[in-house]
Amino acid sequence: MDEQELRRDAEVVRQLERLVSGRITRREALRRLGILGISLPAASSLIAACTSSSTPQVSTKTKAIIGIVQEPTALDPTAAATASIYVLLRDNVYEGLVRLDQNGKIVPQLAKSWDVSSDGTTFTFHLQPGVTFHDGSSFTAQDVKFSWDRAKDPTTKPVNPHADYFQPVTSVTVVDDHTVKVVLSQYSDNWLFHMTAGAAIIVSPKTAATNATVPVGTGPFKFVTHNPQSNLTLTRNDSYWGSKAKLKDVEFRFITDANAMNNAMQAGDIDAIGQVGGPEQVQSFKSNQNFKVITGPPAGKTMVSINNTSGPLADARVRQAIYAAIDRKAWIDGIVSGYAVPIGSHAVPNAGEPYYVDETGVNKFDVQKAKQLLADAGQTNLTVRLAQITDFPYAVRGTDVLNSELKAIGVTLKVIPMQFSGWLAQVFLGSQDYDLTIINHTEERDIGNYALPKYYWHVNNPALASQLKQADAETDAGKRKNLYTAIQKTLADNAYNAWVFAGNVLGVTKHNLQGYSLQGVAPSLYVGDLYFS
Amino acid sequence: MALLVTSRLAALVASLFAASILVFAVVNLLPGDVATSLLGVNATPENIAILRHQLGLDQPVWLRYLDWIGGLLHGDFGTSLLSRTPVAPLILSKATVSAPLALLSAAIALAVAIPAGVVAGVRYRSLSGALISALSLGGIAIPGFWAGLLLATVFAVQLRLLPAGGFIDWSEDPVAAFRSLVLPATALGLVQGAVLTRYVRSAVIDVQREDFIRTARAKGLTRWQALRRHGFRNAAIPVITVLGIQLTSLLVGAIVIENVFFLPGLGRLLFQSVLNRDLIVVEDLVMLLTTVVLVVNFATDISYRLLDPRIRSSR
Repeated sequence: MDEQELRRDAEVVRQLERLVSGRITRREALRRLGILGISLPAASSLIAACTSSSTPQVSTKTKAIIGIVQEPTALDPTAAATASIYVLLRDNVYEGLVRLDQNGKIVPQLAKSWDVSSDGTTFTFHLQPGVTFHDGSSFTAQDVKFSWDRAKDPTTKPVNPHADYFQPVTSVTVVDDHTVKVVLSQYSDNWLFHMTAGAAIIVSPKTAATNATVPVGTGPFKFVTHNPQSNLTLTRNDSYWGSKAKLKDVEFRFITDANAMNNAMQAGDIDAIGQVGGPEQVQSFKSNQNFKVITGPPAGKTMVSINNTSGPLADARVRQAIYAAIDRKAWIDGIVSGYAVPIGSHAVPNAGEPYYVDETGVNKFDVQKAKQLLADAGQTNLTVRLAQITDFPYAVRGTDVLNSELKAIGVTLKVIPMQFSGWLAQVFLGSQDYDLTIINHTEERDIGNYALPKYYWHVNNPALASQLKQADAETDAGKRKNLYTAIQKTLADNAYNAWVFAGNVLGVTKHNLQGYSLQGVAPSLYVGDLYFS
Repeated sequence: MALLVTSRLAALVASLFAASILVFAVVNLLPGDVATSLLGVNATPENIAILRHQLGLDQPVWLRYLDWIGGLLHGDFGTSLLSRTPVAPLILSKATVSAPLALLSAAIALAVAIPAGVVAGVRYRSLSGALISALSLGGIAIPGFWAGLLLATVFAVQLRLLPAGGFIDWSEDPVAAFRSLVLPATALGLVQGAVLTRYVRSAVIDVQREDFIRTARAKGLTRWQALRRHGFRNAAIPVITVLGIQLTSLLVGAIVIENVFFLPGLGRLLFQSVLNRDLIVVEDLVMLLTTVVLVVNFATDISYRLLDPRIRSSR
């Protein structure tokens, strides 16, 4: 073989490697091999030989880079509510006693099993032995007591954003090193579910105070670095107590701009888009075989929240009129490119909210009926204010849709733009002086808020409140489902809010990144199963 | 000259003090605070009150101002209430992205603007001058982010010559760090260069109409000789003024480009901190930028005098 041939063969191998690693398509590989003077049949068989293995082969690539839109503000989910903190860290770095699996079922994590007393008020957890924190200290029942006592009491630092999850807890008692007993004031169906959240993680007393900057947990990954506005890196915990992670390193790279995220993906700088900012973003990846678009279950309640005590909105007919002016399909197509399901009450059809029933038939899109309801209520030339959150694209787009829909029934919308922090201070807390606002309630099983008259919707319905309390305390699953069905119906009948849609969680990965799932309804982006084929 | 520098320095310190009060007042007028941002949508008002107390947000404004300014005077920039990290290293690490980016774009802007502006100014009546002038107008009309997206699409996505974004730290790999700044600096530099070209051009046109140029021509110098010996020095003054303003606005005004190339710069830090009401970071950052602006102004002021003896003697 002369030198030229040798060089050609090396180039052929290089192109084939590119194909296998997913940097070029099959067609591109054929073209390039053609340029190198390989006949089409020969090139096809070469390519087939390289790619035919039916079971995906594990590549030697050991690091995945995932693009993330929202950056964690700090790294301690027991100190701040920012979703990305627990999305990135829960189940990867931090663990709790229980976790949610793909199907929304509560399964063991640091507790290998648990018993519930017959009245449902006492939970006895049997803990995994031989677990150590990343700081070297071993995990015992003492740590559970420390973590949950700290979460419940707002006067201990930090103030837990979900102190409400611990409200049913009367006491946490250490029975022995590997057994812990939790007594509730009464059975709460939601309590154990909430223990899968980021706010309920088990922390090490030795390092808990510094978790905001150096997170320490028991999980399959250890924290390496966090460069604000840039990235966060994790490395495999080789002494993990459970099944170890497949990749050695994972990097989350923070990219807020949708175009920049797409460019980074197209240029091969990142291996996955953790969660897309807007569904229109996935269009360019759908037709490209180098990428996979992953559609998760619908999650989050995108809705027009209503202040039920503000002037004419106290009249159920006015609220129903506004709801009837809303065409859910127009919202879903216009705001999330069709990636959503319509909802008609405060629940979403996914495994996290097993009590969901379809109530979209109650407040149907009907302009004539809306006008009639307004006339019945004696409202002419009605003007309502909308507190618009400018940080969220869906809220900005939703404003335009709502504006034209309300115009069609003769209602004028006065838009008051504000940042989310301002919204929290003025609409959600503080004066709560607003009429309407467009917001996505992302927390699962938050229907209980309708029992709180001071919550920003100002729903004051004592019968409903006691029904909600009864439903949470009901130990019988069938009876509980019936109660929640009635509750959802009451909410829809009264049009306390105008629930519009639940958007699908969307992600994009390189075609050879395996084990990536949007985790059903779990709060975390678990990366322990990721590997390259 | 010494007197002048002293008086200018005194003015600088007084402006800084006034700015600190203004910055603190304006930032504290924003609705919402970091406690609500931290605890999110499931917090009770009681817990927010407890957190506010823990963070010292319930103290009177004047006390918080004294705390902050006292810290600054001692070189203590405080700790971010949001991320619980000290602010000084945070700002410093962002500045290692933003400062080189600003300087590199200013260099590109100058490299474009000086030749283009001078040619356009000298030949403003001919076709080539008009052409450059039209091109620079086109450049001004192009938004920076669009230029950035275009550059990223061509050089990162299509040709794969440069990274589509992100930043590798200087200490890790200086070459990669420089490479990640090339596209954003080009996007910024071209747009700023187009703006600067207009200023150079009109300064050159103006200076050609001056008496001293006519005199120089009467002595027998050619147009170029007259410009070179007497013209450019005078034309430089308005250009330096604009460049000074551009340089400071590039430091934090590059936020759009920082977003397009997801660079961890000062602009994004400021934006995120405002959104999350991490006020201490906002205050420190705005104060720092105010200082930079005032110092750059001070330097431009002094440089006028070095360039133009008439301004020097008028004082």
